[in-house]
Amino acid sequence: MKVKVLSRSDASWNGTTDGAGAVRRTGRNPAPHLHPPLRPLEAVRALNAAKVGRMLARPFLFSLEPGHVDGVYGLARSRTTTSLVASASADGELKLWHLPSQRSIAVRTPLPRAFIRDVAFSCDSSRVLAVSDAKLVYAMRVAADGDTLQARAGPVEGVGGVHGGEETPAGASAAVGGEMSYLASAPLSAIDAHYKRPVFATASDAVEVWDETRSEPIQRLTWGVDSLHTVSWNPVEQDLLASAASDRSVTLYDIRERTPLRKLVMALRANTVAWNPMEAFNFTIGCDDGNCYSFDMRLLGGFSGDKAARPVTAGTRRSRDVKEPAVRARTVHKDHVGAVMSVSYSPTGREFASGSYDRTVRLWDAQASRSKEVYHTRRMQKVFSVLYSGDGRYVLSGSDDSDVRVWKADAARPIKPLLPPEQAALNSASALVERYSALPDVRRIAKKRHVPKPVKAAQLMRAEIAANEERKHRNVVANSGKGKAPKRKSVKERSIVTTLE
Amino acid sequence: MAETPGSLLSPLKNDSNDATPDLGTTDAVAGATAPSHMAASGEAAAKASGKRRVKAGVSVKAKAEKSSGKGRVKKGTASAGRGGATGRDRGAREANDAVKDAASVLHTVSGGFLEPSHPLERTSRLSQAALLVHPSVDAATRSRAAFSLSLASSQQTYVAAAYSRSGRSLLLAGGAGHVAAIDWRAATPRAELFLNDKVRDATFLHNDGLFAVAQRKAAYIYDATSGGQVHVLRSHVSPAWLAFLPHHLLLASAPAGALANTPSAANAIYYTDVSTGEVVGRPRVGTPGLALGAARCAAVNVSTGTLHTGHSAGVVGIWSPSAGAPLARILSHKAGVTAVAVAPDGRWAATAGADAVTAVWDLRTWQQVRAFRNYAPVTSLDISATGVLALSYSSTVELYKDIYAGAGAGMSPAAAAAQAGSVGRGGGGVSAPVRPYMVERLPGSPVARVRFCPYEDLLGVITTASFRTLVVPGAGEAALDSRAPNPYESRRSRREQEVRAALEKLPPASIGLTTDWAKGRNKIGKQLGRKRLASEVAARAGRQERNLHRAGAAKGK
Repeated sequence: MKVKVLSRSDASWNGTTDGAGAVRRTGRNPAPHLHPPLRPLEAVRALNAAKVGRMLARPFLFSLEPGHVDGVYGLARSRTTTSLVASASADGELKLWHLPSQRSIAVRTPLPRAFIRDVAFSCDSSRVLAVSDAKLVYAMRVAADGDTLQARAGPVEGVGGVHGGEETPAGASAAVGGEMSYLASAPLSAIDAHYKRPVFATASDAVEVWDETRSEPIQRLTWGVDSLHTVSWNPVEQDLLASAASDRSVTLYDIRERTPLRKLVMALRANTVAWNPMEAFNFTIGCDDGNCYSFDMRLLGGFSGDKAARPVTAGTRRSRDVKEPAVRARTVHKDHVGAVMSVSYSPTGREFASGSYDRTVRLWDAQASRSKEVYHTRRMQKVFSVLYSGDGRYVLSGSDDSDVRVWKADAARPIKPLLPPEQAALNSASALVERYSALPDVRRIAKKRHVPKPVKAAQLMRAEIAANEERKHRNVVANSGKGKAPKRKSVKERSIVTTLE
Repeated sequence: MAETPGSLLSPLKNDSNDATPDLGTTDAVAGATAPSHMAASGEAAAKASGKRRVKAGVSVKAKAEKSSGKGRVKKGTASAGRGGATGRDRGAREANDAVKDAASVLHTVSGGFLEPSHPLERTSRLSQAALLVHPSVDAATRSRAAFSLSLASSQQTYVAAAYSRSGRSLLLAGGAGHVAAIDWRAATPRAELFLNDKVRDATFLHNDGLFAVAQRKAAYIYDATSGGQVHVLRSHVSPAWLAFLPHHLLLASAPAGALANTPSAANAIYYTDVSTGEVVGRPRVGTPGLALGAARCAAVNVSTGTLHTGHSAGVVGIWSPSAGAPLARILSHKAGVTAVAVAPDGRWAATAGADAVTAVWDLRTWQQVRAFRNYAPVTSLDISATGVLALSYSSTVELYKDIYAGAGAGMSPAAAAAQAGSVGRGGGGVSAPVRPYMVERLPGSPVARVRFCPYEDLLGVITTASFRTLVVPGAGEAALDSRAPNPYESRRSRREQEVRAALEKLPPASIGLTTDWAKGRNKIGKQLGRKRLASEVAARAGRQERNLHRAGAAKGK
């Protein structure tokens, strides 16, 4: 008879018992009879993860002190380091912040009481560019390490008496290493720097493209509108430029061409345009109607290889039987109840943040129509600017209460460096919540966000308006003859008035 | 039992009728120290047993005994492991061997076996005595197998034995109130109770820190370390048996006695969440029209969380706390069901009836795969982690191996049923006799219960007046998992698992015939609108509430 009987050595499993160095053996056996049934267990774990996630969600980190004394309208991050951020306020103050130390490392007031509308880092991040109502582009030099700074406020002829950095006397700009400020012909409302070349663009009565070494714009792009309020370079397709104007239009330009590419007219004004940094053709606009719209610029007509959508140029005629496909947004992001003032993409291109007149900041998955987070505090007022940090882990908001607040991009994730097991635990928790998000309990806990009372009231009102419109449409359909009911546009098309080329 | 006697846990006395006379004399301690000196061990055993009788009995003394016993066992195992080299050297050598073979790296442990080396040999003819003197059986195994207790001096009929989930502790229960939790490896009592009450069943809870006892009027929970009473579950009215669902932390019982045969609403299966103490469900057994009869025995399907109960009408019911009626009924025997068992992986179940037939069921196809007749009605059934079936009738223990393979594998359910010889009631057709894997007769006292020791090739057998350990090669799970209860878990991991078990307690609603509960719910959530889902959930909750209320009202009448 052949016999084998299980016989374990207790000593080898218990570890050596002769002191503190006892190491117990571990074993793994995936046999199902040793473990609870997987799916119910995962569902329970997902529920626990959702609960813990909400318990640990503490998104607000700090506000930058000492802050501005007026509403913060411009926020920009350095393109070479994650630690530098510039902010500008309505009273004409420009501040440079060192985020890790939470300190302001430079404060400048180029023109007192000249409303600084926007701020940007130059292409190589060696300078901070600020535009104000005083028709002036102000350049503040930033050393590469961000520690030693010098502001150069140069008066250009005709301006005279610019009150710039303390070490630079007025009228000395030409004397100091050729540093310049740039004088524009109209009050400026927005600025953005090119991602490759020392070029920047400003928005005023037209989009003007400037070479950093010249005092005059090198290109002036217009399309029948005299008041633009935002401009944005495409970070990937670097000759593309988008701007929004007060005639409710969003215009795309290619600076290699003489004329603008395309114009998209919305039902309500677009306040901001942000390109997806990873998908060259996608951009998101923040609109006065409280929605954000993501567009694929290839589907605005005229860009695809599709015959119907081929651009109309002189000498070609579009055949009549081919119907132009309806221009539609790729995604409508609906959650804000006030005008969206600012949109900023995460460097990964998978999330973006938006700041709104409804005094909240919302975070979105780029593909999602509903926000995943809403941040607000009792004292935060209308949010004019938001900014994702360079590492994608923080979101900054500048608001009318003159504070620049720093939030976590992932509310529940600790900001300390994580050990691999902690990282793995967090990843698996979020994966579980995602996987079981349709379970009623999990969804209820994971999605629930408290919003301020006025926002809640506005949400209810908007829901009621939408329901009424829906009911009205149903009535129209019911009382129209068969096939005569007017076709209702999809939500993605409804807010688009037209596209022009 | 007016005065508390000393410990009744004495080693089994030498029995002239015993089939294993040599080993009968060795108790655990003597066996551990001197497995090869069996002739000399009688004296040692007498000495050890005398000592224990004096010392044990109350917990403080038991503790002292424990430490001394532990020391001795340790010495024994060390000497057993030595064999010319130190334990550490041996471990290193084992590790080297393992590294040599890539396959053995992935499968560092293999289970036991018992195979005939000649076609004419039969494993069933190998007695325990012959097995234990086999040269490939080591001294540690002999010492473990030698853990036997004579319980005759307590003058009561023993009704239950149970191992904890880690296999570390053993629980014995006598009908007149002697309940003992024993660390059987160290051969020391952990807690010993003399309850002066009728005891019908006892079981460990999620680990070996707590155990529950089915007493005359209610179920009680005791601390296995101190022996203190932790809780009384009065909602479990005169429980006939106890079953514990480790992943749901639910304790279930059904009433015994006259109540079990009435159509009363109180004749129900009571489920109590032991972490909160609330009754989470009580599906009614005595529903008129179901004709189940009294629930006599039960077994837990750990993989799904269902409870299999054997009823006096020959029916096996499968229960969930959230359903008012059994999820399924198996018409399994022509006479009352006497024992049920479910394989730990949830694939197979075994039932035995008063018609002396044992049937094996495939829980995936719901077909009977085999049925065979015994000499007498089976009193107890158990299925080991590897699928060995143990059954006991009168004073015989039989073990069966590979009885599922013949009918189940690679065959359609119909063909399988045809081979098995019957569909439907198991008594209707009985297939050809099955040759047992092993047979052991324990003359003298009828066997009350057989239970496999987790992670060991051992079977604990409680007869009416003694406890015996049988060696069953190939019955135990060879590979330990540090995340599951195991005999070598550290105190820290036990603590962590206790917290984890409470945090990850599965909801009672997840119990069903399948384990895809969350899948279905997830799908429902996606398919239905939110409102409809909410109304559906509310309606379901309301239904359950009404059922419970109705049951309570009926009980009040």
